Amino acid sequence: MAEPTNQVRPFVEGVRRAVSRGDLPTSMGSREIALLLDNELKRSAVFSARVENARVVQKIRDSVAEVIAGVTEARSAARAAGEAPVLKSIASAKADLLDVLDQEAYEPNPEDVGTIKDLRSDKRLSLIIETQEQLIQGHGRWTAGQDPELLDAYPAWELVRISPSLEPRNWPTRWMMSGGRLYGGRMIALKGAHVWDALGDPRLFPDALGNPYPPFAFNSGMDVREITRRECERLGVMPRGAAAPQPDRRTLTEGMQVSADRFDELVAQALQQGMRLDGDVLRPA
Amino acid sequence: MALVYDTATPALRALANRANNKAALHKVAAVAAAEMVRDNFAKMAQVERNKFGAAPRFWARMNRGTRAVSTQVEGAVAMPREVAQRYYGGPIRPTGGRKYLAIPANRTAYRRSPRSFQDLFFAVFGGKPVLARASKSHTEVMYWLVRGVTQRGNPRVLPPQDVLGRHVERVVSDYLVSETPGTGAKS
Repeated sequence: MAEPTNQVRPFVEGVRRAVSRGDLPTSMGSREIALLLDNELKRSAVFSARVENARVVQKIRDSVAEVIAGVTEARSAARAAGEAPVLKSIASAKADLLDVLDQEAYEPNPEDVGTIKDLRSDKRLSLIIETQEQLIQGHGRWTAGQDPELLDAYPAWELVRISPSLEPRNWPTRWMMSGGRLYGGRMIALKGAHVWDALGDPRLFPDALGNPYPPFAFNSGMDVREITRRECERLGVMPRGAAAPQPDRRTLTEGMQVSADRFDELVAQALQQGMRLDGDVLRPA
Repeated sequence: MALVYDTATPALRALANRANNKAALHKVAAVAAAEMVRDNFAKMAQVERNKFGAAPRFWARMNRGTRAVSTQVEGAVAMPREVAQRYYGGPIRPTGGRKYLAIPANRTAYRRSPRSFQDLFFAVFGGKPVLARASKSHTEVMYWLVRGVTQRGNPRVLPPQDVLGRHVERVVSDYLVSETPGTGAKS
């Protein structure tokens, strides 16, 4: 691979050293990721009463953590020695999980083979790993966005599509059902607004994940982008010179417990009702 | 007697405070740059299609993995490493003792490791090594096996530097002069 320019490399290395010293406000430290995954995965990864194998749950946790970690010193060293790729791909993480399932002699019910009820199915494994990755990234950005100086400069988020969807949900309708307002067709709200909690509220939307940050629902192609104070004032989202939203100090565990509860409940429904993945949307069969 | 509201001095004081708060300025600048990069990834996601005609999830993953980082002296955009490969291009070789890269040849194989299949076998198809599987009526090529690939760099992966720079300057300027609660004082 072509190397970055000499100007870029020392800068990147400097930032990386600063991160490892704790000088930079990281979105998620390894301890936070571990706590997050413990809460999420111990509850949400075990979709069926038949899958109670701690080793499987641990492997899910480790695989997701490796995917999220990106380039680490250990992986860089392994790559330099020709032993492993520098990044853990999702395809590779799924294959690792299959290895563990084989070792643990996991077998789905014959009628479930290949469906979302089958822990070995590619759809199921993709759902587990990709959703966990997205939740952790979303939580990291949400946490970073609570910085008071950033709340002053970027007091709002806009809900935007970042990936095409085979069967897109009607997000403007969801937005308004959640109490949101449109600004020239744009879905923008201050960061402390109730709409962000409502978008992820499973009492409103059965496929919601229970988080006030994206992904708000399974297999969603939506995310948020920062909106400047100037644009908020121009659009009328906030009056000129108004105070910035207050930081949301909800704890990590608090947010994740809601998510884990909902994840479990939703997939329990899937098991009972025979839900299926229809494109990007989880639907009753 | 006149009642004079001195709006200039508090505003100037606020401006000076903000200008002196280097950490905040770098934070604001880094976020502005990160959001522009993310917007670019969202555009790539709308237009790119893989060889099977599907919209790849790659750009959404890169989008979600991008974030602003900053210190007292600098701001930056941290992106997943895969962005660099797309932007700069370059060779990709197998690692971990493997001899080949496995390139999906079939929609079913897309985003899956060969290890996730139970029934693949090595074969030669058209003089090229492949991993294939047998179905009832025919043999299906699932992966092309290659010693390595060289990707071409794509400058459209990131916004042009000058455009990015102007955007960040504009956002930071707006931040410096924006009003905060409490501007304006009686004298």
